[in-house]
Amino acid sequence: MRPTNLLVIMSDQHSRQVLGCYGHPLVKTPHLDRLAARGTRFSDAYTNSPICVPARAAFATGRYPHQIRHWDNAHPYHGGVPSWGHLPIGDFADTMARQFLVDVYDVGFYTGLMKSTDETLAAIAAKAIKESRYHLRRSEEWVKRLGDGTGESHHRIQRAFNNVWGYTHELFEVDKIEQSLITAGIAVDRPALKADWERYVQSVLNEATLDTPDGQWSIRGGRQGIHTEHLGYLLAELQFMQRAYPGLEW
Amino acid sequence: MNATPNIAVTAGPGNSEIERLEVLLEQVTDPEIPVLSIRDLGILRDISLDVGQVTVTITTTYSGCPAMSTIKEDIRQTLSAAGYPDVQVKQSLSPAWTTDWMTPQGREKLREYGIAPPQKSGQGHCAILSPGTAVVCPQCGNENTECISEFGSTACKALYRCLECAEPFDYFKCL
Repeated sequence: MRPTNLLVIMSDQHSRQVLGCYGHPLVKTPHLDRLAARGTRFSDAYTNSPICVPARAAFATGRYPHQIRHWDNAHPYHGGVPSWGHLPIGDFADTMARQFLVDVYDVGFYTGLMKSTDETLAAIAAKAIKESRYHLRRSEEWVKRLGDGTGESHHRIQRAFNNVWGYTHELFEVDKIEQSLITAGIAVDRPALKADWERYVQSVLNEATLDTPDGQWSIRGGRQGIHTEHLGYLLAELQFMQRAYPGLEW
Repeated sequence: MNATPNIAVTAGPGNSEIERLEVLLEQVTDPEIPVLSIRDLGILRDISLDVGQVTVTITTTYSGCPAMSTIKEDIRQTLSAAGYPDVQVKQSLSPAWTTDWMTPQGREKLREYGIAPPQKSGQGHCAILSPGTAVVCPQCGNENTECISEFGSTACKALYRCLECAEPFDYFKCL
């Protein structure tokens, strides 16, 4: 069968009652009426959901909202679920691997930031460090438990570390502006945190019976505004309300 | 860092008025733990009065605590209803809030409410961070309890279970 291009036009929140071709006495829709006159006009078709995003998601996938779980407008249909670091959320092992690597970094970073010459930054760091210790404790325990758990949990947490490892290099890179802030004693010398970070992560991975992933590959550019394709989905979700309801206030 | 709460009193003839403000602010509670006033919680840092203008300084508990804007609004409304239309609420960052500032009455209210109060972190006995420190069940008073989740209904709490009376309960973590 030859591939065919189809153009689907879907009007948003458009009730059949407000179309000329369905007999509304006042509403004029001459273009849509012409399309209807030349084609097939359904009189008993029902949407899978009376809410726009679930309706479109069901339409696009050919599946019901209860199957694809796009229940309302807060769940944009995009084919994937975004999360921190704008990588697909994955499973619990992905979440814990990512969280652990960042928690180790955060504790080092806030310890450094507490010495900032900027009083506000130092105050924020003094507060954040206390919370970060709880975060690190939790993710570290999970990494150990999953790594040293069943064959399945070991496989998943190892895969999670392998997948996220290449994104960690950027945590320790700085540009010229940040370098000048480091020189002024305001920002943290992040490249200097790397050795301690590696040592800590390594010791936990060892205890969790996990291999340290291959350090060769890396994804870089986030700090220069170059992002992965996953960022688009994340922004779509974050901007949903403002785009769906321009100028909204509450 | 572990200083006791210091309610500063502005110099001048307004001292008794500051005391009145303190009493009024007892009505302002944490919207997530309504039995605790902001003073019990130790987040009320300062009250000052200057020619009719009241300045109340508060600090946050856990970073990003969603209750802060409600608390600020409640302070303004409470004082406004008591005849102080000119109220400024300031938020201080330093020194960082610690659960050690929670008053003894506040800890007792928490326990009665069903939340195990935090230990004194200054003494190095924080459950979760210092293993071996018991969290006492707020229902039956037993020490035979276990942690179910280190993050509970809010980031500042952990979820525990009593192995004696079998009731689950929240524990307010030391910070």
